Amino acid sequence: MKKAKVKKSLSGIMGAVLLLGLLTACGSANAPEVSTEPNAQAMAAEKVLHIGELWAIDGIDPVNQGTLVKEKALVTEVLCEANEKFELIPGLATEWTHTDDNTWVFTIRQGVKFHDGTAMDAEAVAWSINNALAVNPTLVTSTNISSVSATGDYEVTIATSKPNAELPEYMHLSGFGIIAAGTYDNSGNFVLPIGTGPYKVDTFNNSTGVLTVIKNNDYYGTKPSIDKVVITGMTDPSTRALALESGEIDFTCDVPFNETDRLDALDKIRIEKYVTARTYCINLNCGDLFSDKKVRQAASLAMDRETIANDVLYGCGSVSKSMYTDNMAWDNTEIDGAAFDLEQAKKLMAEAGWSDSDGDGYLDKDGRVFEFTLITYTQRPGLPLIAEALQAQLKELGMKVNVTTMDSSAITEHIKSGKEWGMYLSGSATCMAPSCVYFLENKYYSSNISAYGYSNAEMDSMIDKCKTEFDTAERYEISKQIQALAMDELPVIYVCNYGVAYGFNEKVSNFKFNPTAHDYMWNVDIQIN
Amino acid sequence: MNNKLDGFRHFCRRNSLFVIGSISVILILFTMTVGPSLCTHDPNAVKYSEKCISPCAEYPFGTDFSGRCVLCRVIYGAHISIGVALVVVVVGAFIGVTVGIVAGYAGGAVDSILMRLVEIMLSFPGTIFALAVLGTLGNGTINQIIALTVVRWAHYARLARGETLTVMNSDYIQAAQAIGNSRLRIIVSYIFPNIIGQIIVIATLSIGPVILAGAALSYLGLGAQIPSPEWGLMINGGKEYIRQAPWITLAPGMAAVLTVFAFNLLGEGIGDMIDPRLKEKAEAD
Amino acid sequence: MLKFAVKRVVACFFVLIAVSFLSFIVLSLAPGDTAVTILTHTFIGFDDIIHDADVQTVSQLYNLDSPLILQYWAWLKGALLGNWGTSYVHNVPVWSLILSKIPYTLFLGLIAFFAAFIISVPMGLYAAAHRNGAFDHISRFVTIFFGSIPNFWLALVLIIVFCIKLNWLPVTGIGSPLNFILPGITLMVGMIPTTFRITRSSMSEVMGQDYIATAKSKGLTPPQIVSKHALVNVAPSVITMAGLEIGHILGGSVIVETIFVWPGIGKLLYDSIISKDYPMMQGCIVTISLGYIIAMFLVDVITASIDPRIRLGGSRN
Repeated sequence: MKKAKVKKSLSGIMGAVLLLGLLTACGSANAPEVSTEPNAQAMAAEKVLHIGELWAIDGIDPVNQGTLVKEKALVTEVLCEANEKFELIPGLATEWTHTDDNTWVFTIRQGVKFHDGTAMDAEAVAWSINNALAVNPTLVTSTNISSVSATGDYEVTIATSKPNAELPEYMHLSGFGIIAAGTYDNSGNFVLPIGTGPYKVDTFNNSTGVLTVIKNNDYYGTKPSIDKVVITGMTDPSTRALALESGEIDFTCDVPFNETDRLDALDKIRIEKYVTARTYCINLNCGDLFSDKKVRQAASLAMDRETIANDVLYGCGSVSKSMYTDNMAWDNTEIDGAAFDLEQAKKLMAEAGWSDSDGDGYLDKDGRVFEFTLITYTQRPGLPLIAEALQAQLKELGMKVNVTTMDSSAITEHIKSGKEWGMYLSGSATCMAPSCVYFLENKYYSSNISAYGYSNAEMDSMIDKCKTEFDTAERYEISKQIQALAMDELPVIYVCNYGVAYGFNEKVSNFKFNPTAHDYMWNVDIQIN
Repeated sequence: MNNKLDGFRHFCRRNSLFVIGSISVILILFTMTVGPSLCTHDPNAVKYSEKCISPCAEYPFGTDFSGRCVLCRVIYGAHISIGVALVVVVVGAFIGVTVGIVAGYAGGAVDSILMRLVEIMLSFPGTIFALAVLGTLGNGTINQIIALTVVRWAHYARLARGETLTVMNSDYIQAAQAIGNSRLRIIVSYIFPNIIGQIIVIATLSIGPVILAGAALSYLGLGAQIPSPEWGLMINGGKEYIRQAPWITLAPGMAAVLTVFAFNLLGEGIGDMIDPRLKEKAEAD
Repeated sequence: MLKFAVKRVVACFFVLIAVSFLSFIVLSLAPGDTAVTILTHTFIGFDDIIHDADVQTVSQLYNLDSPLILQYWAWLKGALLGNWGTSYVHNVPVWSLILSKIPYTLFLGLIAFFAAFIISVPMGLYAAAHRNGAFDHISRFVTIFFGSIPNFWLALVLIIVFCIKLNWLPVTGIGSPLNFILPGITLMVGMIPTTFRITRSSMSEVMGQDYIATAKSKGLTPPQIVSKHALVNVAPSVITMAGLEIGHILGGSVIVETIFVWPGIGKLLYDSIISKDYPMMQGCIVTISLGYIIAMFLVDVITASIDPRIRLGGSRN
């Protein structure tokens, strides 16, 4: 009796195990191919570059994941490229001009073919730009484009609803990478990005996040030197360092800052550090504790940027004098907002009426202690470390800083809802497009969310003027004036320029740094031995 | 005298887990209390000139990437890690026991509804639900306590209900009901004292796992915030320095292992002593 | 038997609906404007500048202004028809991405579980059969110690030793069997204490029963007692325990998958929490609970088929 039952139950277990096994097997069969390693023979002939990408590769949509597709995979290209001074140079458009305040005409490069063999003409470009605007509505907001049309075989006319002097600059946004209609299937579903770039997509594995691109033999420009590039998402910096050391990857961006010296000393690894168009900056709450300009200046003077750049960031970043770096064509080089002078800072705080009346080490005024919350987020590893350092440095001045980390969307709501905050430390991109006013508008224009309540009519009118000045030199000049005013008013303090540490396997050579890239952009003639 | 000593030896042998566990827990709580006054360094004082010093006389566990004494931080961190766990267990057990007794005593629809709720809570894996709650509430120690409590109470509730049902069937409860005691009085004077032993075992046993769960949340960046010396957060901060300064990661990790080990031994030990069924068997051996 | 199974399926279904409702509510209460979240993760960089006009566009695009209960109703209707919504971050159907991740988690989890099972069940049986012996004490100490190690710290220590110092094993990747070793060990160490403890305590209980005493008095040798009487009676609790552990596999490896960059559902869930990808979080939570509920159901059916009293009683509790 008992035995029979056990048998029955055993068969039940067996059934369950089998079922599970089957489920697993089916699952594995459905899952895309795991290994993309080429066989040994092919490896000898083929030059392959393995890249450790610092973000998870969620998708390869050429509009919304434009930075990956254009800069890191070199699959798409844009109408206007930029040189190392952030000045525009011809890309897929050979020239451009504005015929009136609301109309821009672009002349398209001839003889370029998409990866699927179709010709890139004005029709294709107009379709591609319209597609980008439909997929990502924020592109409409930032450019004011009202219509895009082909007005000749190789001429595209773009009309704007409001004058936009920097439309060509915005055409440099990677979301505007030019793609062929074949990127989508007949029912409008996205398949794979088909661009004009030196590399074309070979495979993309959605579940492992591995993107493989191969060389485009029909490329119109400099012929690519590497046959195949495998890009793997590795979100943890230590993991990227380990993978670089073990030879799993040949190139990566952002290894742990503290590891750079040790890695660089290894025979087979080389580290190169650069400064990118991103800044570690602090928005101050000008509606509360930081309403007095003297207090804002004191906070800036109390920051020892040199120590932060060297001891916290280990040289992956540099002291920032203003929002922009010297190499940008519109940078106002006369500004130096990096002074460190604790005595002067203390004097300014005293002038503003703050003193330590109860001897607890913290300043107070009318019974209120100078205590505030410094908000930051953790996705950029330097931020929490800088926050810790600032906490210690501002304590010297007598400010009590409480650090808290939040998701960036929660930060916006926290500040908007009127909860207590004093500083918001972020790593903001200064040149999403190579524009001399984009960043200024966003951080200082009174109606913008990212201005966090700062409002100055003079500033607003200067920014409006800059955005509609069609003469480039004149526009840069206005930008310099805005920079000077912004650094005098100081609603935003700049701590350090954002640095990146690139790690190379020794067999990689001829890498050329592109300062306009957002994390990294490798060059077509990079070599691997 | 000899007899007493023999008895003590016998007790220790039979209850080795309890003896070792309670001694270790007492040692840990003692260090936690006395430690801060012996620390000569401020656990949060940043000093870049002394960063990543390997263990030496001045800094027995070395210093971290901001030049802070790792030993001091581990000791201060104990307050947070153990404190959070104790609060979670006490509050969670209180809520759970209340719900469990009410469900078991009332029976019927109340029981069904409460127990369905418990079942739903238990079908979420603990970490996942805590993560979701923290994702909602935002980071911070208080929110971490709330998230862990929300996850834990259902475990105590299920146990308390089961034990209540067992006790309810016994003769003396029926006798107490027969002589007209009020419901509250029956719950407080008869049911509660009879199930508290089991609850204490489970509560003690869950201190260790709750410390681990709390550290895990902080490790993922969802619990304590910088510059707090919470252990999980220290391990997370030190992991980038694993090559040049492994002590930043190893010290808080070892502290967590030893503390949780001590509480787990104590819990299992109490379990061996209190569980009457097992005790009978132990005596029968 | 069939009636019992149908009853359990209906009950499971309602638990699942309740789980999805609860998690939907919890997620909806989260701070942070959902429109801003979608905006920063899908359309612009996550720490880029936000325009009010764009926030409004996204709100309309994703139907975020309708009341919560209607949003949940819309989700539930879709979910029952197999449409779990679209991920904010990945911009692909939630279900398809989850489905592609499940095999990775399940495979790793089952390997770890079977390893833990093979090690700890015999240990538990032996320890209980020789209660208070040296083996019993040592194995209890060791397993309690295993249960005291934070898994994220164990993972780091294993990486230090095997990847950095010895350079024997790769840290990440999924291509080779070597990739399974470290995450597998980390998961296994976490599973051993529970499997051991439950095996030991249920075996102890069985060893204290009258029929074991009777068998002893009949003069059977200990191995005979264990194989003929004890094992049969320990089986139901061990099956229940195994079911519980397998049910927890989907949700049990968030941290391990995050550290070893394992492309499973745990890492997917963690990433979606970090990026506030609510449809994805909801999908992952429901999937994980579904896994647990299915495992519980199978356990119920199996134990009920062994022990008819459970069937008549109707409920596990």
